[in-house]
Amino acid sequence: MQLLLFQLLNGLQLSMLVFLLAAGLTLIFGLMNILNLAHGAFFTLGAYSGLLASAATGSFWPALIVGPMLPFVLGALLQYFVLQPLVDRGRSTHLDLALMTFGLLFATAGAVELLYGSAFYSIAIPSALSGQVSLLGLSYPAYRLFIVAAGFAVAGSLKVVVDRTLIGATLRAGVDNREMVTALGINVNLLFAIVFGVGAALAGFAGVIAAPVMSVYSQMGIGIVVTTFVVVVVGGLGNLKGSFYASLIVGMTDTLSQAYLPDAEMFAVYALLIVVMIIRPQGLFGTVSRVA
Amino acid sequence: MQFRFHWLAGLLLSFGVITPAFAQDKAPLKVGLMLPYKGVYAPVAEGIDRGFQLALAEYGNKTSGRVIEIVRADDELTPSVGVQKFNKLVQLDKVDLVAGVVGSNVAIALSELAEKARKPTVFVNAFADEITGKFCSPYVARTSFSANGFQFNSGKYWASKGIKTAVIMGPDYAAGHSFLNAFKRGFEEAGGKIVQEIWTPFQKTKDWGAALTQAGGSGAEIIYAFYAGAEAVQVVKQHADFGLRDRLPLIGDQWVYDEALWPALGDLVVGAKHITVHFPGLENDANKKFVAAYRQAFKGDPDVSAALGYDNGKAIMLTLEKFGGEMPADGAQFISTMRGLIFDAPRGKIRFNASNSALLDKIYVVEIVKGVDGKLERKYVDDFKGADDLPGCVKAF
Repeated sequence: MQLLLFQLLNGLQLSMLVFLLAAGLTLIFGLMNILNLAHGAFFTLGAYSGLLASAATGSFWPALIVGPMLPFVLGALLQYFVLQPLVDRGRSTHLDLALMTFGLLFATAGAVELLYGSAFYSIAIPSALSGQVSLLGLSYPAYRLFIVAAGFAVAGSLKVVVDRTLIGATLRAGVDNREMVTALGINVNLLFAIVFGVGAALAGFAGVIAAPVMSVYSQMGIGIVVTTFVVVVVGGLGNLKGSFYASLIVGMTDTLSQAYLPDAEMFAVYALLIVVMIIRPQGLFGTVSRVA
Repeated sequence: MQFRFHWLAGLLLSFGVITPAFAQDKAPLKVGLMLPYKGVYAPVAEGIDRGFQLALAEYGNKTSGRVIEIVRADDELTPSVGVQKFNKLVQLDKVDLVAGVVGSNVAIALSELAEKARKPTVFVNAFADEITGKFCSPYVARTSFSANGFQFNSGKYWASKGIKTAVIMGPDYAAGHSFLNAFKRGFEEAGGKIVQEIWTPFQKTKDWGAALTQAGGSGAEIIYAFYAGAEAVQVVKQHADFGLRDRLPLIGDQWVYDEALWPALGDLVVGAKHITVHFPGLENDANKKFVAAYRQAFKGDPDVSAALGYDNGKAIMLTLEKFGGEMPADGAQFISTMRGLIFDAPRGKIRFNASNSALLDKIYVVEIVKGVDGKLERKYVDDFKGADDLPGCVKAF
């Protein structure tokens, strides 16, 4: 029983880490329909700039602030100067974007390897969060609880921003009817660039959050992209609530299958994806307007 | 390759072995060096490459007056790519022999080709038992060791130290299974019991929480792990996060606690014990010479990969010497001559078994400690003999 509780906590923790990545992609791919395979690159860049910041200051917290900055700037520039023009040319948008961003993912890994070599780095767990916390008679790593809290915090604030603020409303309007919003005097391209930047910054934030439990290395962003896309598609494109629950499902499936059915771990998540795609092609929480 | 030339030239000058160009009256002898230079095993490839260069530099990059030229190829750890590159090395570059190869998957694909092309092929890592077992070939040798040779007696060793129960944990692919199963056989033969086996998807797992929680509840005395690179960092860190360091120590081999990972692990490695085939502080003449040459050339300490790369190069140089700079007509003759070698390597004495696989004279148990200058270093604790390879080679040569 205690073991199961422990595993559920592990699952929750992994879910929130996955959500941090998926949230950014939900904005970029789900909402704005920009196929961004380079999401893993922003994850890597966030982790490395966090690494620099924590090495310079000797503390974890500055990393959490500095880490998302570089991905934000690069993401916004990328969207404004490269991806948007590519979309405007409108030949085969998804294919162009896929090739472009896929190349970028590997180019980033290569560039990082050139600068930092292929060694492994890490950011130390802040002293306030090292050690274990007693919880219902369990002792659980404090930092992992922090990851869970960070996931909930990001989920909450994103929900408020997208659903309740003028920026959120403008964004949703821009997605639904671009011409009309442009006619109202709003620079949709700029808005999209900023939102893309925010999505990239969230990936960078996830990179910093993940750094103390995982390792920072040049290829770290490559494998993670697939899981993230699974979450966004299972949750329903552009649906923040959907990707939150999908993160929970994917995280739990992964952890519980690893614990109790190790042979199934490799395909459990993909089996889930296939079943969802057959039964509800629009995703668990998606509306029928767009099908992945 | 500019930088390589600079230090190499410096090294050669310092040994006083650069000779005027008129000595090069014969065509150079070409050695193909196939390593996974990019990707997850890039650090391994770099170490091997450096060690290999040092072994050749010791002879002034010449054998019996004939210059040796290294032709590098990247197998990308993928058998199909390895096959392509091997064919290119043999047919286009016309190499006299092929060295290197880290992945056992690539090595298995190449041994058949080596036999067809009658090209002597000397593997540097490729630890799978089958390489010189089921897939053995008179054209193939391995200068490192087999999984069984490395891990079987380790199992016996830890059982003999009073450890009764263990969890084995490793990546779910061929190498993980062959190393840990060898450990298991040894451990159980000496009276220990493996209470749980945890196999995590190779290169897919990021979170070991579930696995470590299961291990923590198993009641075992130790976790014996086989991991490398990013996975090793994550396992060691998360093991510490869960507060298992005192309750359920994580013991492993040279790859789990590889020095390339020390910057990422920080103080977590202090006090960790592991087994290794080589470490820079080993007390023997061959090692002292090797470490000094390495420090001079690369400004740092050699890792295990560098030592294994050096052994690979050294075995090739010693064999070439016996032929006076000419390759024998049949590549099998080169390999059978290599099989007869016994030489002092940094890791200890190297000799080969009947199916061309190098054996481990000694395996060292070390503890990672903080030295007087605050730098991490390995302290010798104990050693034991390497086991024989598993039988399986049915060819006669």
